[in-house]
Amino acid sequence: MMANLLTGFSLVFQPLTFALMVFGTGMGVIIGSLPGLTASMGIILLLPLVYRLPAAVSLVMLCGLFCGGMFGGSISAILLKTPGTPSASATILDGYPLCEQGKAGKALGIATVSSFIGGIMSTICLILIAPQLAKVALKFQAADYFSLAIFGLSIMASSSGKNVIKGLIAGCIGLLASCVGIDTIVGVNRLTFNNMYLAGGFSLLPVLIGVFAISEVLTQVQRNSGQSKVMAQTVTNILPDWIDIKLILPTALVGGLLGVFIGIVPGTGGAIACFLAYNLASKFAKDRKMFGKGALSGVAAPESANNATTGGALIPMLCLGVPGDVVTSVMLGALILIGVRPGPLLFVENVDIVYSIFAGMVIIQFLMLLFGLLSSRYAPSILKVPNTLLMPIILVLCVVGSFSLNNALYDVTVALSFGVIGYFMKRWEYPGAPLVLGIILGPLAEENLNRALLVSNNNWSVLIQRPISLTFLILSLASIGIAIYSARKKEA
Amino acid sequence: MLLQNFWGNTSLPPKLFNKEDEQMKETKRVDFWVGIALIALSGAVWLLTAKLPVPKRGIGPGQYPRVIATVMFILGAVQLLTNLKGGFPEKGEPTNWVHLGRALLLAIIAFVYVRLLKFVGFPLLTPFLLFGVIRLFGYKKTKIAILLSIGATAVIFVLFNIVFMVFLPLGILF
Repeated sequence: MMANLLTGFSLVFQPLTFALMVFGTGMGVIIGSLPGLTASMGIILLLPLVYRLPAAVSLVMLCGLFCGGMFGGSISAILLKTPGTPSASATILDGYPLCEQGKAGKALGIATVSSFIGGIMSTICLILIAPQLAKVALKFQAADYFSLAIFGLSIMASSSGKNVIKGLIAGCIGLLASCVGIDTIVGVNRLTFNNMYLAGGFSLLPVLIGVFAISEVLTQVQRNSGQSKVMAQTVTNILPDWIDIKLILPTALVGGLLGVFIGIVPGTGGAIACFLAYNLASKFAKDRKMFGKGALSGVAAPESANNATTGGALIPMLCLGVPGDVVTSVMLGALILIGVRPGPLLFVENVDIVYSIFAGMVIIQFLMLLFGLLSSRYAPSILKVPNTLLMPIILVLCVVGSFSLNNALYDVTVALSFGVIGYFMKRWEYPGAPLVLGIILGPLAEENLNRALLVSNNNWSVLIQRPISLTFLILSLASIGIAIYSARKKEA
Repeated sequence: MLLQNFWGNTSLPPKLFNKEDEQMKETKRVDFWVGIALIALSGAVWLLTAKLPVPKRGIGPGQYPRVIATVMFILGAVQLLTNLKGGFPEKGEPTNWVHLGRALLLAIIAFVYVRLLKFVGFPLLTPFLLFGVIRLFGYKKTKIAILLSIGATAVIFVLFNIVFMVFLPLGILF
């Protein structure tokens, strides 16, 4: 393991990889800090660049964007009272009061250091847990993979929206969209209406661009949001002193542990972790009496927790091919575009890629610390860039990005069509992530179901005869059942 | 307690309650129609896949989409019946046509842009798209909008054509 990790570090320190890792982390911090732009949108905008680069290089860059984006959300949460990403929602509660007291620098410094602590903890867990989980996952057979795909889809459907039925519907539409094109088993046209373009099916890149980026541009144009208002104050004293670090350290460590655990559970993510960590810290932190009025621990807990989910969310994505949250579902799509299929075999066939990610994640945390401390100084200027100017450029980048896949305008039309679908889904509260996951996991589910039935001579009970498969199916039902139960309880 | 104050604001003024109520009614109505659409879609999938070959072993090209269509039918029926509880869903909050119109106008502009791209070309057409969309977003400073439209087009064109070797359409004029 140590030898592999050292190889990973040597790859990460190659000039191109390092430069793109710095670029990815910096871009992540900027994108995350701008309300309306999320880490997933940042990853999508970089996709045209990603599949022209070696897999390890592009993945390390995307990890930088993921971690940087997660931290970046705290900048606007503290300065604007608007979280840049949903994961920074709890940071507002104490970050903004600190800003109002003229301590924006202190709040940003604490957010940076806590994010670093959470990020390092999650990276250590990723390095220790992922290879072990992959060893277990190597024992999976076709039936298990089918049930795993169903589990991934059901957990995403039940957790990414307010209504589990809507999540399941979105997932089913994704699965159905994955059926369009020439069938891979027999080789006949399926649901193509004899259209030669549809025979190739829907490529993942235009779908991702449409559902996550173009739909957002359409949503923003209807809001016509305009320019953000930045607190008129100079951000100074960013570097926290030792007394403050001693005060927040226990909170940041507990928040980090909680974040890692939540990140590992598929379908959860930073938004849940930050509130749980905040709630926990409000009960045991030394400065708990100050919570809501500008407590440093109130900034440290959610920031440590949300950054700790990054490494945690990568564990199921890399080992099982099941994303931990929306951003990792986009990353899963990016991996497939590069030609890397996540799953246990990744740890056997592409050890260099896996350990480059591990080594990259360590370096990214330090880069994030550096960027955090630096960008906090320039953040007020960055936040002045109005969405009214950014969104049109993003639209053009979406067009160019989808065109770049095959140099075909058909892909742009697909992206725009899925953008309109994504817009209406958002408008009517149908989550987009299960739809994309359905398209990603659809072929995996079909291929493995076919293989399982071939081996078992069309015996469908093979799905419940294998313990691993049965466990995943039970977990799928449980996740849907729990989501329906909690929704009913809330209504009552 | 803090979280409750932040999220669980139960003492909303009556006006907001009415608005939420109207929104819920509208969501219910949309969900009802989505249920019907899903049932129709699942029926169409069954019909469209009926003639696909059925292998002796394994899952055929038609069987897999039909399994998905069956699940969709069930989900559609659940949506339909859930939203029919207490009668046919009433009309809720009226559609904000200005908001919806702006989003649809942008979508139409984008589709037309893609259609024209092959003939007019990226370098000539994109500044017009950018300028139009910037105005649609409500940005008022014309000079900055023009400069940004031309500048962004130039940067994107050079970046993709030279650095990434993605040859963007030049149109029939070049």
